Amino acid sequence: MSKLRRERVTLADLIRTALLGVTGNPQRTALASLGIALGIASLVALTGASASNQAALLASFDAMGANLAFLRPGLGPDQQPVPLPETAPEAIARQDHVERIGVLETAPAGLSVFRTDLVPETATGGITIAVARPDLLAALDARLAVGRWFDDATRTLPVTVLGATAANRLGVSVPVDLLYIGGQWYGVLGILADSGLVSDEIDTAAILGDQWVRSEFAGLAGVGEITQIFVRAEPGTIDAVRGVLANAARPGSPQWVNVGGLGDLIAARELADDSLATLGMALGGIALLVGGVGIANTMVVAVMERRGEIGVRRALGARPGQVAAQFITEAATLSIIGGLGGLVLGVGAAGVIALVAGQPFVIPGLVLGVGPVVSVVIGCLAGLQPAVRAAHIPPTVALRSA
Amino acid sequence: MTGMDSLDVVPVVEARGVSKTYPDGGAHDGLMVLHPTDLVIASGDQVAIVGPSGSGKSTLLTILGTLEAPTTGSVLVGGRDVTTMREGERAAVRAGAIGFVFQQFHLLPTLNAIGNVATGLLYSGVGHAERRERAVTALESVGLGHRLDHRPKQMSGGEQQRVAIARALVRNPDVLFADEPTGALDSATGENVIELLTEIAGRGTALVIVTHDSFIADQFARRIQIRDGVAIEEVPHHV
Ligand SMILES: Nc1ncnc2c1ncn2[C@@H]1O[C@H](COP(=O)(O)OP(=O)(O)OP(=O)(O)O)[C@@H](O)[C@H]1O
Ligand SMILES: [Mg+2]
Repeated sequence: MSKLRRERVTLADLIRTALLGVTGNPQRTALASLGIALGIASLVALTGASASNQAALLASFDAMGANLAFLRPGLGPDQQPVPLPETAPEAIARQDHVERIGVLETAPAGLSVFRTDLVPETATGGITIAVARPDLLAALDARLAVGRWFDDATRTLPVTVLGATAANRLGVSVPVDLLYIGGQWYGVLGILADSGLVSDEIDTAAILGDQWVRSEFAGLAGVGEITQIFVRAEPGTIDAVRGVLANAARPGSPQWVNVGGLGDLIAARELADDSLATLGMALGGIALLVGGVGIANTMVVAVMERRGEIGVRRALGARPGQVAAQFITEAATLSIIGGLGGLVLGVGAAGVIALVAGQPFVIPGLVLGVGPVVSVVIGCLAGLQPAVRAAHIPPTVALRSA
Repeated sequence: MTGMDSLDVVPVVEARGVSKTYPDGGAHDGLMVLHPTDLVIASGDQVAIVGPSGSGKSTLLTILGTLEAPTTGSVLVGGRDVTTMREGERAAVRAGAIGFVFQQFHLLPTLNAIGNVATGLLYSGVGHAERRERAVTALESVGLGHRLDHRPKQMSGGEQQRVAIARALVRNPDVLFADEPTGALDSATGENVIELLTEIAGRGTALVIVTHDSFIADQFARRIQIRDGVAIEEVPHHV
């Protein structure tokens, strides 16, 4: 009697049968999967919205300098500042996670800035001189309000780019004026936009090109030496980057290098990072729980209503486990339908929220993958109790009550 | 089955002293709705179970069909004692050897005729495509080749019962149990259904049917009378 083999029902058959149950009562399917749909939708939408929010927040933190570090000469054994070596910028730029760097050189001492050559030297204070290499602008994420920044040609010329505050104090707004600096006329090449926190020292400065200064002021104390290096790290890597900077700049004697950053901003960035993501997960999780209960409810009713079907399948040779598997698969199918619907809904909602808030539209890829997996798991859990119940109904009872 | 059939015939179904007692509120030992019964059903047998309402006909049928466990005694299907089996093995016995036809048809409302009949093979390890092929053949053999795509709601009672018969016979069962298969049908339609069932039985499948209708019962070679749970087989006679 080879007929007595215990035959398996294939996964394809299981899914086919589950789809039957699901399509048999479309209205109930819609209602049952609605809960999961709303759960996944809120998970995706909230996580997406918080990710967008976070991206916007982090971008603004980074613009303020949360991912910025700077190196300055530290004190040597003789308690005198030790200039940063000329090789430092290149060495730092080679480090992992370093996006870009900018270099300030020592300004020649004793230079003052005037609108005319007639004002007495003491009359215009508060404007400093800075000497920049062309890479400084990008490293600081600074923008020009008007005019241009130094390039390979203009870094050799007697021209200046003014910080926003400096331009304001001098009353210069259009880069056609000439300025009288250290006894010489300079053209105004450009004016920087107000850059907020990062470059306080730049805001009040008249910036000169490095090569011009090297040739014009050659021999003066400190000219040509690096006084500060700004380092822009990839988002979220600033701690790691800061750890390697001193040794990269001055291998062997990192203690002579001063590494700084905007500590509070870094801490604030990390805080924002965590709390918003947690909020999204928590709210989505609650919604999913409610959705799971909805599916469990539907399956309990389905098992009661379909006792006749259960009895027939048992009479046809379905094992209790196969009946249970059918209802679990059906619950999982309901949940997947809800999950996919919720995914679409949630991505759409997150998109609208980001659009309205004017934030970058970010959906963490993880959520897209996790959503369907989570709904399958919830569906199986929700279907478990009703399925086991279905499996335990004796066939004759099931047939009689139908 | 082997070539030894003629020498040593294993009955399709055999009941040895099966009885059924339902608990009765604890007042006494319970209500014995089926008294100990012995019964042997051989390949190709046609058996009618008759008796008044409540006498225990369905009880005996479901015990023979392995859907219900007897309180005492044992049931052997193809020589194997199903009463000591685990439910999973019993299910495999049903899937392999037993077909059922019910008074209320019990078709799945969301499936068309092919789907319903193909479900008869779902638990017998037959692949999807073959299930559907064999379902079409079975439906044609019950005269429903033109209603393959119809759902139960679109069919008459007689047609639905023929779909149910196709679902039972698509698996080539050794025995087919039918509990009042004509109970929900008018007499002419019922007569057709009985003709169909006996025709199937003529091909070697044993047929055990419960009926109220003595006219139907008279067409069966073996008749078992149940009264108050006591089953008595009538003396064999020629039809
Ligand atoms: N689960 C149960 N619990 C208690 N008593 C039951 C149960 N199932 C059946 N009975 C009783 O067993 C007896 C026989 O029932 P059964 O269904 O076998 O009768 P039947 O001959 O098929 O009747 P009918 O012709 O009306 O279908 C009845 O008295 C019934 O009330
Ligand atoms: Mg009955």
